[in-house]
Amino acid sequence: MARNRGLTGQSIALVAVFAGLIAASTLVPEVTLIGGVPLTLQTFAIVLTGLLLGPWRALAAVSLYLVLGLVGAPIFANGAAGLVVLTGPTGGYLIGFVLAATVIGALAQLLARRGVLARRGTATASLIGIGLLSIPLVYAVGVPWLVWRTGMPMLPTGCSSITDIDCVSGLTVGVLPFIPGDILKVVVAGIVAAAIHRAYPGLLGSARRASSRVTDPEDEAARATA
Amino acid sequence: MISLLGIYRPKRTALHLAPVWFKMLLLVGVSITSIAVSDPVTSIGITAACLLLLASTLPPLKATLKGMGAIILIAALTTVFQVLRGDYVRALDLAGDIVSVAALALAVSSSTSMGAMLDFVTTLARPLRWLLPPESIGVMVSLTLRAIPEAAQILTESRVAARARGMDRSPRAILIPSASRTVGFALQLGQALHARGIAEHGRAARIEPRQVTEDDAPPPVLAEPPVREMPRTEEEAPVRPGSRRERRR
Repeated sequence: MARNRGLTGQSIALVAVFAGLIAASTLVPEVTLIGGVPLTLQTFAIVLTGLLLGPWRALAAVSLYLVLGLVGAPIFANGAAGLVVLTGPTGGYLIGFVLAATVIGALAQLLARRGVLARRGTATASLIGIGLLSIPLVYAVGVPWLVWRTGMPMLPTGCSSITDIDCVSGLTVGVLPFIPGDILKVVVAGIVAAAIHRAYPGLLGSARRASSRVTDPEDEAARATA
Repeated sequence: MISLLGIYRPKRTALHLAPVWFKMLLLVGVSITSIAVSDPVTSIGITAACLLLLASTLPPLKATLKGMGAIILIAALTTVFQVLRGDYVRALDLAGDIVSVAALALAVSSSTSMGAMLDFVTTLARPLRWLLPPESIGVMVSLTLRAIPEAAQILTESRVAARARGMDRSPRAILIPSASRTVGFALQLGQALHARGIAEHGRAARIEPRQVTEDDAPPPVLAEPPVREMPRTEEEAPVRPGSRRERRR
């Protein structure tokens, strides 16, 4: 079964290292783009994990990151740690990360099995397309949580000017300010993921054809080196 | 730069001595209560109790203020928003909910070591052991803790390298080498794990019992990939490792 096969040393190492990458992405200072726009790396790391690892390993990696953060390692955004982050108003985004990484991981694996990722022209565009799906998925969990914990209305009602109190809503506070940055991060993650899939074609199990010389399909060592 | 201590400090207060399941139960209970009850007086009472509990664990001041700071800011903004809408009762209730749960969560964090929390999580995950053996959880957690500084170093080094080429404003120049080296590191780590047979208990444990009853062979050495447990021909059998791997254990 896929579960048993998933518990190989290679999968465990990938899960652990990508959980570490997500954690490290909140610790290193952000990348400054041209024009001085800071690019925090957490969303990038989550999307990259999904695109590179496939559904189960991405689910495991993001969950492992969350568990480590919840038990007290200060690896959430801004050095926060512990249960306070999950129970707080922004905790829903963290749950959304798990969902998003799993779903885009499943789609990326589908693409890999179809052989789309092997073609250079389509790989980047399709990976970016999948990655963009992660944005509504994160907000689908995060915004209702935020709205519920802070008592804001979900949609702005009768909003006329920016200083109008009616403009404060889940959509205007919890979604719109972050959308441009999110799209940028997903595009970068898609480009990076396409490059990594070119460099390591076996990551999503698509190397089965490429490594046909390996006689024993159960030999993970051969597949890991393929 | 990277401290993994968090807010926990070893002390001997009442909450430090309380069992982890009790603290988690308390947190879940208070969360549900504070959300279900929309009476501002009760809400403020719960908040005061939670803040007292937090103080009773004698948390480190700076880390606590940092942890509470963002939450208090959000609570304040929520309150202002609700007051501006003219809903004072709801303002108090919501602010109380946010602050009380946050204070209690911090109290639990500051009184429970990471090891104790991880043990608790592993216990919770025990019904899932057909999917995720507890040994694998332990391996993954310790590997992740090791991988955090490694990944941070890779990110930092890639940035320095990009800057040296005058491309420190280009995300591609920083992130593609970072991701590539991270995956490479993971694959090397995976091969090292595979070579040592670490984290292969899952399947080995499921295959093992039947085999042991069939022949009187010793249980498979951990350092052996499970696929090779059944040699197909007699020629392969003597290759089974003996003393060298035994000695290493």
